[in-house]
Amino acid sequence: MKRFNAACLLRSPAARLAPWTAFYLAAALGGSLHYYIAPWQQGVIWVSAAALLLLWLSAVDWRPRPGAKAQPLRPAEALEGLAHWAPLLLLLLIGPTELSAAGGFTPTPLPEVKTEQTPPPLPEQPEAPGLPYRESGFIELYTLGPVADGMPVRLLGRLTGLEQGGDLAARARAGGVEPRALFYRFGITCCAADGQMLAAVLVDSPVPGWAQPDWYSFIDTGWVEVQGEARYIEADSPVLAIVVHQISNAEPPDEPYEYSLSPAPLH
Amino acid sequence: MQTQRGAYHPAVSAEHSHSAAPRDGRWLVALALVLGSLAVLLPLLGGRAPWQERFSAYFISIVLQSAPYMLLGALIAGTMERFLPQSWLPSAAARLGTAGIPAAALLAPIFPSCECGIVSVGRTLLRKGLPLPHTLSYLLAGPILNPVVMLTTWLAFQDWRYPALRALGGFLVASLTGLILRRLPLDFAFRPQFLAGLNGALPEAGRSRIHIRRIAYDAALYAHASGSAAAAPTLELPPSLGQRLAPFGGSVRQVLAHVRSDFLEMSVYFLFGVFIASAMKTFIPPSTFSHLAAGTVSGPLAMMVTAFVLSLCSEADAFPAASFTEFSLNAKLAFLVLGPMLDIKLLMMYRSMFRSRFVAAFASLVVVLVLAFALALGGLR
Repeated sequence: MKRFNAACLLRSPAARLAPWTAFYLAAALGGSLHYYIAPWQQGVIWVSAAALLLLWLSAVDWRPRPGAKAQPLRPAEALEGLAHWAPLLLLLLIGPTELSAAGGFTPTPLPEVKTEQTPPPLPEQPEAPGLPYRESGFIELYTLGPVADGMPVRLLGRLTGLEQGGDLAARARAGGVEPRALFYRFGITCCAADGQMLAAVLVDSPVPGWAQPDWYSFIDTGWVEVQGEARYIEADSPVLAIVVHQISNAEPPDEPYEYSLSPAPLH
Repeated sequence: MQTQRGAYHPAVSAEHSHSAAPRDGRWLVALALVLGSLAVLLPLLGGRAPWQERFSAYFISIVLQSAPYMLLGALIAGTMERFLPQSWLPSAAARLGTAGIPAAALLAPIFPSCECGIVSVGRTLLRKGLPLPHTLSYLLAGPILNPVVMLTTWLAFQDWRYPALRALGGFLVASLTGLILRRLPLDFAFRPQFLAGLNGALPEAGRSRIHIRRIAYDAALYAHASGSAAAAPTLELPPSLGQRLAPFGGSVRQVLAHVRSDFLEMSVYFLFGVFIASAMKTFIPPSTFSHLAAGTVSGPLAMMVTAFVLSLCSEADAFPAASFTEFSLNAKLAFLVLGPMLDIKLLMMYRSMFRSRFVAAFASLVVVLVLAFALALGGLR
């Protein structure tokens, strides 16, 4: 009587725990945790990786039950074994990737932007660029609300078209501002699954020559740093706008997201 | 005499088995998951698409975030399985009668867990003889009446009404669900294979069988530690340290075997639930339901659908809930109460023990009760 075969090994707990253990170790040791999990949760992942390794080691001493007869692997068992590999395969073949705006929002039909039209002047214009720009974040600006109105700021994020921002552009127009592009970064609380787009509309400076004329070309080109003046636009629900003074390409930050429970790192 | 250490618990026996155990329909879930994963991965041959990256980020982050709590739940369940006396829960439930159903909801702070771990704990409570209505009450209230969940809810809103009303809603809905469903026959609720393993549902026969197994297990351990069964009665020397630790080692092995078995069994359902939730998050824009915010009924309903789709952990869901500023207090509470009781991944995990028709009835009842609770709070701002 054959007491052990490859099927016994494949249906063993050790074989099924192996992809789970590898998944957690790869996520933790591979340095990709910050694409998925907020810093305050990352300790849990390390502990889990250690616990799964321990659990896997405890399963490795699995031995066939004395007297039991080995049976071939059924298709149902093989399927179940394969199912455990899904997270590891997705991590290795696709991830790590940060959330992007593409595909996440329903475009709202917008009236065509008349480029020849001069944007309506905003009150209290800064006197000139070269102000003491404050390194800030979207969460901070949204939290400060009207207090941040007029603050010279420097933010890291990405530019995309207005159609990705839902009704944000329409709300900005209702507040008397002509938006030209969407500047955004994702904010997460716990993990990327609760990620939300933190966005501001970018508007041209009313003073010609303050921003480079081709700044729209930075749209969808990756990470950029925007210097400008934060404006808090009162509409049905408030809109954050930034009057562009300067835009430049920037290195991707170590932490792609802003976090609700900790200060947002910019670099 | 056989001295397998796995003889005491069915999970251990199943783990050591060489034969293919009954799969309980799990293979269908596994098949769907494998096919779904192929549908995501195969298009990679033609290059990456943004939807694949979004799907992958959602799927991996939910698994990374939630599976540790499932593991913790399996550990709590394994410890209870090994150390909780078999007669304790049935006799306590019998003493308390119907009042035991709401009382079971209050077990949550004693066995705290979020919703991913609670299913494992609930399965163990059932195996330990806790009646179904009591277990339902615990399953539903457990992820809400959890000190960590209460704390994070307060942190997210900075308003004591949210944790207080969330706890009240969780307790009421859980207790009422248990009370309403208390007359249901067990074979309507449980999958046959799970019901067959419920010694606690058959009090006399179950207890005696467990008792006999326990004696046999202890005897086997002693004989194993002593070298042979015959040596035990004539042993005169004091036991060595290894011998004294053998029962402890046996218990640890029992608990670990239970954790492995429970985690692996639940994880197939869990992964499929996460897969569906990630697909819905990828293809349904987050603003889909925002135009319903103003409605008296549509507001809470929209938030309940959002909670069901997002499938967030109850320890972190208060923060996203707080960001839905256009929704009223009662709509946000509908989100906070329903989410830990019912979401896509939980629905799949419930299927590991309950029949589909029971899950449908039970889920419908929970939805109605949560909506009623939210509407009752309609006057609050």
